[in-house]
Amino acid sequence: MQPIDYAVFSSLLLLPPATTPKLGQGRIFSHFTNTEGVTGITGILGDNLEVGQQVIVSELRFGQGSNPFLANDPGDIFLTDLGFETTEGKLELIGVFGDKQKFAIQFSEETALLLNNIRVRPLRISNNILNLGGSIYSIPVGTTIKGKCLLKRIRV
Amino acid sequence: MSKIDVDFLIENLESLEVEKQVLAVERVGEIVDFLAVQTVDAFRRSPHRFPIAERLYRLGSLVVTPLEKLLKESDNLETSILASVILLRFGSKVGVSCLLDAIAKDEEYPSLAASSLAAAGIKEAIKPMINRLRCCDLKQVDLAIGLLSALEDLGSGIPSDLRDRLTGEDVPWQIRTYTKRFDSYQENQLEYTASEKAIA
Repeated sequence: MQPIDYAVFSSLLLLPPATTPKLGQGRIFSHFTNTEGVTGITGILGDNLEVGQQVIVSELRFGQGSNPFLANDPGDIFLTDLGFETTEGKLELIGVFGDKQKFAIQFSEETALLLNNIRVRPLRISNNILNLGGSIYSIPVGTTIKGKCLLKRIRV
Repeated sequence: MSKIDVDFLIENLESLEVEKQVLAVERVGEIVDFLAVQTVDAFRRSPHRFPIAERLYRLGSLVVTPLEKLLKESDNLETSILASVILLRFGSKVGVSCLLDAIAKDEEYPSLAASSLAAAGIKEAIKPMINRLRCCDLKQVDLAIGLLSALEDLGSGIPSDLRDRLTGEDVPWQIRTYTKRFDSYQENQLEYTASEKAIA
């Protein structure tokens, strides 16, 4: 996928920071990543986004994940139900560190399961208040998701 | 262990003198064994075991012996489950009973336990998965989805009473969708089996 100069498309894609677009039914999953990850997954040059800016993306192409072990197969991609507002500390609790906290890409359970027939596999279920981290999920390496997805730059 | 002089060690590894090289390789072996034990101990002590466990894999099979020892000694459920998952990935089955228990009772890692056992092809896991699905609160969407995914991976069928339970009108749509997906997988399997028989 060729990287897109975000500035060219900004008038079409840019959403006001306060806008929360409806991504579909069910839970919203987030994949946190760095600049290189954003470009690889969305084709958008992440560095051209300001902190707080968000963009609607119609296709996500996930390559190989970097933390493969507890995922079902080597290279699977990790997701969480933690959202854009999640603190650095909470992300660290699920193993997301440093520049991988800069961007989040979100899509809905409906987009994954109904539109793309993709199993989002739960790995760690966080359903008690003592567990400060979120739940952790995985999708297979090489997954492509088509539909209404959201990219947001969260941190500098 | 005494202080590690990495430069000296590399110098000897690069040497063409057999004695220096052999002794250096032996020393490297001692060091990596020591580090594997220390890393597993860090995993045992950490309050955040999941991200540590995730990265233990990078140490390779060196962690198997210390993890098996940890599994025998640990009274912490999370430690035992994660250690068992890692061990199973390296072919050690000493934690299988712990993972079967996790499917039956654990709240945090039943799906991970199920998918690990499914990935290892352990059919013994089917019964506890079905039992848990029969009695769990179906508001626990992740639990049901995780178990259904693992059953699908194992090529298992689901009993009709369970299918009825999981496709009821008041059941969350995600669980109903997974169950129906499961049905089509089973139909494909039946078609495949029938065509194989026809060919034979």
